[in-house]
Order: sequence, then structure tokens, then C-alpha cells
Amino acid sequence: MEAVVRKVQQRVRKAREEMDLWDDLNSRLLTNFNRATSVIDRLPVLGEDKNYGALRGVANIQEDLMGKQIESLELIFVSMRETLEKFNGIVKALNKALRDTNQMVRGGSALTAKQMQLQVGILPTIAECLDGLRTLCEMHQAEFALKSSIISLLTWKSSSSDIVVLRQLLVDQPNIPKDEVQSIFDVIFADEIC
Amino acid sequence: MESSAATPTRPPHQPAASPSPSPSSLRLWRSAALRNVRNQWSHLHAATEQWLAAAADGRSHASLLVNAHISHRDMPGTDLGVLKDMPGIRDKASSKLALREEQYGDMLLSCYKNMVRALCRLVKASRSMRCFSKVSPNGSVAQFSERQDDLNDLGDGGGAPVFKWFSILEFESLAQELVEMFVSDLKLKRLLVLELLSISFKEGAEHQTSLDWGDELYDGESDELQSIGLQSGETCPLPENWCAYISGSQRPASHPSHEVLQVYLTAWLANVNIKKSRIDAIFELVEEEMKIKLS
Repeated sequence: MEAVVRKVQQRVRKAREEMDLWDDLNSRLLTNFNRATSVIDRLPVLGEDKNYGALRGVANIQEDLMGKQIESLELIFVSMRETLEKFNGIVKALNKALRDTNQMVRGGSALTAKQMQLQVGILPTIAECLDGLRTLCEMHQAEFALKSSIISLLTWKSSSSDIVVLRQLLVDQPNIPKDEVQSIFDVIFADEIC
Repeated sequence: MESSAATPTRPPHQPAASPSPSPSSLRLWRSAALRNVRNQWSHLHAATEQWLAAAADGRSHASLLVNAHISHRDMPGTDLGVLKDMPGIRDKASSKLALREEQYGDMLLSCYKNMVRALCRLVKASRSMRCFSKVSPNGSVAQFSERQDDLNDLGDGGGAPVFKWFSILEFESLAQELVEMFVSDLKLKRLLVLELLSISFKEGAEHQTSLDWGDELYDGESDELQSIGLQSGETCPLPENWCAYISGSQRPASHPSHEVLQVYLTAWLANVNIKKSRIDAIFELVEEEMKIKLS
């Protein structure tokens, strides 16, 4: 029985390595989000003739400058979508870890409900591990969905008050409460905390 | 820029390529030309990097300058909170900000100077692609140089490919494309430097009131611009399609608003006339042709 729990822990550990990439990706996403919004904030100013001062004498400057800004905005969006794709990769990896773990304990010589609840020493039960992993999957899935919709809501027409809210959501990551994640790991790796 | 007048190696009335030389002299020419073209392209590459780095530095100095200027300008109305009762605090802060403005202005100018230097290097390399036969007194050993001794020798190996496909002419036209981008952006940056330096001038009466397009921005600027054909007489001519609004008395005399300053900074950082993807494509093409890495 203990061997099975150890195997399950091993899978969760691997899943945790995937999750460690999440925060790096989020700071990359935020950097690009901030770059995008500083361009978006500037666009109304760039759109007005009277703001060009001495540049008004330069042929086509307004079209050229707006064109350049839109172009860099598009590039930023491309790289934000790439980052989102990487978030999606993590979500998929977590789901696969959950499926595989389920397969391991339910497939083949299926464990009984009693075995699932069996507690060996300070080791977690298999049911606890599976629940924890499932919760982690759901959190990241939901957070990925939130980030996708935030990025699709951001356009060059977004108002600065909307932008503030969207940025806060990206920072907060409301679907992944840090303390809850920690307590899940505390349960699953109970034997390692001394 | 006026490419035909500015490229002494390619007089407009001569044919585009000289008659094909004999196979053996072509072989000798080619080995000299290979080396030269490779060298010139690594200069071109280094020069573009240098220009872009100077522009990036200039961008941060420009925004520091603008920030200092805005705080300076707003100082009389700024709420200083508990500090307001300290004797002379406002004046001290003001003069400190004025000093900052001056420092950032100097730094911006020195970045501009570096951009001009980089452009000179770029233009010089773009005009040094050709490889001329050197007339040696005994005529025994074939030698080549960057200087044209014989007017019938165009230095292009009769239009033969230097590496695999590209002739000297094609290398020149790619280099020219780079030059044109950087020249037009330098002109825009020059105008921005002019405007940004002028904002701080307008404060103090002891300075001149503002800079004009015809002014030399630093000692020796005229000589450097002349050396690359951007300037022929005493002053830098206004680009053709710019209207006279920029020079002379019609320029707005009032303080530029925050918005205008923001547009100036954006115009600086956007490198409006520089197409980075095209530059990368040109260097990739040339690297592929020469089978070397330039970076």
C-alpha cells in the first residue's frame, strides 16, 4: 500500500514541477500586458493632430507613427498568445497527470474504497492525493480560461479604467489561491514536513 | 539622400557594369573582392547595432529630460506638503531640476552624436564595396585597392558574382537600402533633439531662445554630415517633403504640452523610419550569400 502512495506522490511531484513554470509565464504575460497597455494609452494622444508640435511639418508623420505603434501592438499580442499557449500546455500536463494517476489506482488491480482511504503512518491516503491533484487541475484550468478571456478583452479601444481591472486580475490570479495550494501540498507531502 | 551624386564610384553616365575581364584576372579580383565585401558588411552590421544602441540610450535620456522638465515647469504650483516652510526649498528644488535638465540634455546630445558617427560608418562601408585594380609600376603582381586609379575600371569585376549570386551592384543596393532608412530616421531624430533641447532653453533668459534646424547641434556636426553627403553648404538642408513649418519663425513658441512631449518621445522610441524586420532580412540574405555569421 505504501508503495502505491509513494508512486502517487511521485506523480504529484512531477505535476508540481510543471506548476513552477506558471509564475514565470505570468510575469512574462504581465510584462507584455504592460507594454501593450502603454501603447494603447498613447494611441488617443497620437491620434490628434494638435499634439504633434514641431513634428507637424514632417510629411506623413502621424500615419507612420500610428502605423508603427499598431504594428508593435500586434507583435505584443502575438507573443501574449504564445504565452497563453504555454499556460494551456501546463493545464494539459496537469490533466494528464491526474488521468494517469487515476488509471494507476483504479485500473488493473483496482483498489477498494477502503484501501483508498487507508492511512499508513503520516503518509496521506490515496484519496487525499487524488482530491488534491484534481483541485489543482481545476484551479489552473479555470485560471487559464480567465487569462484567455482577459487577453481577448484587451483591444486598442480598451479604456484605462478597464485596463486597471484587467491588470489586477492578471496579478491576483484569483483561481489559484496560494495558501490553498500550499495546504494541498502539505497534505500530500505530509511525511516530508518535519 | 541623393545617391548618384553621393556615390563617387558610380558616375551616372557610365554603363552599369564594366566589360567582363579575363578569367584569370577575374579570379584574382574575386578573391580580393570577397575579403573586402565581407569586411564592409561586418562594418555595416556593427554600424547598425551601434546606431540602434545609441538610439535606445537616447530614448532613456530623452524621457528623463522630459520628466525633469515637467517637474521643473510645475514646481511653482507643486504642493510640497510639510516641506513648504523650509526656507528657499522651492528655489533649490527648481535649480536642481534645471541642472538635471541640462545634464540629460547633454547626454541626449551625446547619443545623437553617436548616432551620427554610426551613420558615417554605415555610409562609408556602403560606398566601399568595390575593389579596383591597382596600377602597379612593374605590372607583375595584381593588386587591388579601394581607390579608383583607372576610370575604365568600375571595380565591380564586370558585374560578376562575388560569392555565389550577388554582384557588387546588388550588394551596394542592399547597403543603400539600409543607409536610406537610417538617414531618414536620423533626420527625424535630429528634429526631436532640437525640440527637446529647446524646451529647457526657453526658461532662462541667459540662453538663446531656441535652436533652429540650421544650427549646428554640436561642434563638428556639419563636417560629419557633409562627409556623408547629408549636407553640402553651411547648414543642413530641410528634407524635401518636410514643410518649412519646422524652420524659421513659424515654429510654435509656447511650451509644448504634455501630450506633445509624449508624441515626441513616442516618435523617438518607435524608430519610425527603421524597418527592423527588413534590416534583419537584409542581413540574413547577405549572411546566407557569404556563408558567414555577421553577429
